Amino acid sequence: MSHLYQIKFEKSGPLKYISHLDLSSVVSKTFRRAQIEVELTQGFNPRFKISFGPALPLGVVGLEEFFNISLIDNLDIGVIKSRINKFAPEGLKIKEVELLNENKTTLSQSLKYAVYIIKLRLEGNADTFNEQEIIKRFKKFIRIFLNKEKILANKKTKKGFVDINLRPYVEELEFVSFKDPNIVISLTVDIQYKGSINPNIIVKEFLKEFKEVNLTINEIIRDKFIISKKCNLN
Amino acid sequence: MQKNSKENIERILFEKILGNVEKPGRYIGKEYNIIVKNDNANIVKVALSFPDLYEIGMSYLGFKILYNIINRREDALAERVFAPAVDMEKLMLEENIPLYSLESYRPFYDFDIIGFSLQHELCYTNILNMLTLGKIDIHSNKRDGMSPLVIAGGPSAFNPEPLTDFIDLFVIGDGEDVINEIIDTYQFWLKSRQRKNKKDLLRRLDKLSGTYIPSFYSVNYLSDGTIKYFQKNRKDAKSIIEKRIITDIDNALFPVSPIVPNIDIVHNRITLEIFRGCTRGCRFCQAGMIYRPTRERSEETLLRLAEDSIRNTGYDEISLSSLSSSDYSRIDSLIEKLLDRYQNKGIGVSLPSLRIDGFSVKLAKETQRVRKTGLTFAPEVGTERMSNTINKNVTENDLYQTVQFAFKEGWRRIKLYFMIGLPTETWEDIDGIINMIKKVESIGKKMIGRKFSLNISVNAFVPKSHTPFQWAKQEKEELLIKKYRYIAKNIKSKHISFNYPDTKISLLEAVFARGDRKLNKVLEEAHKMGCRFDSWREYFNFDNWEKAFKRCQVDMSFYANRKREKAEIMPWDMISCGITKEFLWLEWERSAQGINLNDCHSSVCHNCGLQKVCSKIIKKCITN
Repeated sequence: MSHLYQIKFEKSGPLKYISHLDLSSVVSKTFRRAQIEVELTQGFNPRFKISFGPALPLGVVGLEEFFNISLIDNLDIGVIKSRINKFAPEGLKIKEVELLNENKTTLSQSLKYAVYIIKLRLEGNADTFNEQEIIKRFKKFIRIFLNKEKILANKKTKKGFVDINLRPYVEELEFVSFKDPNIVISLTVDIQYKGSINPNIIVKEFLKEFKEVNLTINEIIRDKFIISKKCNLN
Repeated sequence: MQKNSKENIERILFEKILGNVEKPGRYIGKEYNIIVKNDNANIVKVALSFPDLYEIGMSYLGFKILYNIINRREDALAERVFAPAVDMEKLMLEENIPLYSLESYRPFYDFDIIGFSLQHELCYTNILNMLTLGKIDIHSNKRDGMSPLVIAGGPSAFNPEPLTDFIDLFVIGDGEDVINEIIDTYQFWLKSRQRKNKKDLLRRLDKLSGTYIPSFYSVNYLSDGTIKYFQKNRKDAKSIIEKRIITDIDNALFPVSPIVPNIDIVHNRITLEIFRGCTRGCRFCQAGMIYRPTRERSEETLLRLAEDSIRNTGYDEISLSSLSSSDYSRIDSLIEKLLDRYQNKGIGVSLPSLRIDGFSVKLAKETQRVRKTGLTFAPEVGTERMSNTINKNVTENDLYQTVQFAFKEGWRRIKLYFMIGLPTETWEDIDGIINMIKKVESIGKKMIGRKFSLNISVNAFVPKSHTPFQWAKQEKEELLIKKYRYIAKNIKSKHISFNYPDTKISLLEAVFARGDRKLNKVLEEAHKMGCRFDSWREYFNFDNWEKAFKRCQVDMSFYANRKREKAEIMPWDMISCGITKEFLWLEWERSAQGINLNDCHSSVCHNCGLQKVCSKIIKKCITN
């Protein structure tokens, strides 16, 4: 008799730089080391019954990522959480374990937006501009950016290089804070629109507006998902 | 913060580099089961350096063993260093960070002992490149007692001569015991306050068995380029360097908590070494000669190692590794027990290579209860005559029956390995290969039909040291290419895919495999011209190599394409793998006469030279 759990986890540190496929393998091995029995698929090549939420782009930290997994054992969720964390590699941390009941909708249908926190670094002489100037400039360029109908970027796909319009992906872009030389902005991306987009591409296009100032991306963090208002994950 | 400090390297890596390279996971470390020790003045720091990418080096069992042995000591630590890919190297140079270890981002030059693994000859330029990136002088004679001691071991160390300008000490044979002795000696030397005196350290290390210090010897040549004599520069240096042999492999250390990489690597699974050595006696195979005698681990030990390894790593596949796994004395029982224990947990068992007989297919069927992949066989040759020449005792019918059995049991994909350019080969033998391939194809088409696929891989014979074929020549490129094309033309079919290596890569391999000290200059020249990753087709630059040989006035064909005579002094004659040169020569003669020799384990002893050691081991096995 198997049970379906939803497991929220953080992917950071050294695991920031591994692909989604590699992450899946890391998670599987962690469960085996923790000796928590996972239900296997049928057929020639039995695998763990595990399904992940939207893939994290390479290099992006994820704070509330998740997967659903079918376990054979009927363990206390506190025990599951502590055991997995004990056998997890550096960079993988379980934040929450939840037993799912039949009413839950499938993962992909209910997720509407992903919220990214982008940490930028101001390179060069900060004395040239004062703090108020920077903040004003940022808010102005955000307004300009959001007012555009088309933001074109060249994206490499399987069919070669293609021009895509980034604007429909951007639900919200907000200035968060400035503490010299670090600037934080928040980007909300529509993840149901036409396939996935790497937030890096959107941020890079946005940074092109800043001509006199040198800004580099320090870190991108996927902070959380926002579900659509129609259904209720809880 | 100091420029090349560990903290600075780590910072630059994460801030500026990792986001801009392919597969950044190669360069980070911090994997599960990593061992990071604090160091102090009393700890000997050893860099286990694999001269290829992370994905390749992380599968290497030898380093997992040494990592474990060294880190168990309180007075030493071992960290890993791999060759950075070309894009990473470029950024490292731009940001001015030196080659570093994964455990602590320690600069390469900060280690006491650097140990390279010589798996094949085409990694030599990577060694020089790693030293350069690690800001260490590549020349042994320019490094003093304060520089890292650079040592090397592995199969290619059995002919160390092309690297004598760069490596301070070679380890010959099994490394498990000698590595501890080397560290012990190093510690004694440190305590004797002779730190500046490198010669003193080398003198002490020469006292150990299985160590070859090239600077203690010199070579003289005849006018025809062959060796006149090889002599000691020091009276107390060893005259012959005997390889080290671990006789009690059952109790030898086996790493049951190997590092689990976060990214995919080749052979991403538990590797259980079920035995070391091989007694089949295939005449072209160097591994079969240098790893003798055969020593098995007991079934009980292997089951325990498997249990511990699975628990500590979480892997879902165990590979039973050896030179000829179906020859393990308790293979049936071992596989059955492993499958019984682990099959229903989704953990599979695999065999790396199969002998060509029904028994092996039956084994494969057992192991592929969990996963179904293709089957690989290595007939090597296509006629019985050649089979006797190389002493790989497989008949045509063996292959056809085995293949038929495999198809009957449900396999649809077969891979076959062949070798061309072997001694006494004629065009008839090439036709033999073609006929064999076609026959297998027709069996497949008949039994499976449309979905059947046959993958053919043909390699060029490379004569290796310490084998009966060490006197043979490699065939000239033009002839090899002619043969490849002829085969390709005659096996064209929608069911068959055919691949063969770049003949220039095979040529270079043949040069270095039986090279002498004159090749050091060529290697250095090639390194200066930027040669690296020579076994990777994308990076292999033959033009530069050709220029390097020309500039040094060294002729490639002298090493590769010249047949050698009995009296010739080989560059590796002072290294003993336990097999006598007389035995190898007799085998060479027998090959010319088409006489084959049976597996000494199942028939009589052929007196290869290792009788004493072998009988000790066999007695132990019998009593167990």
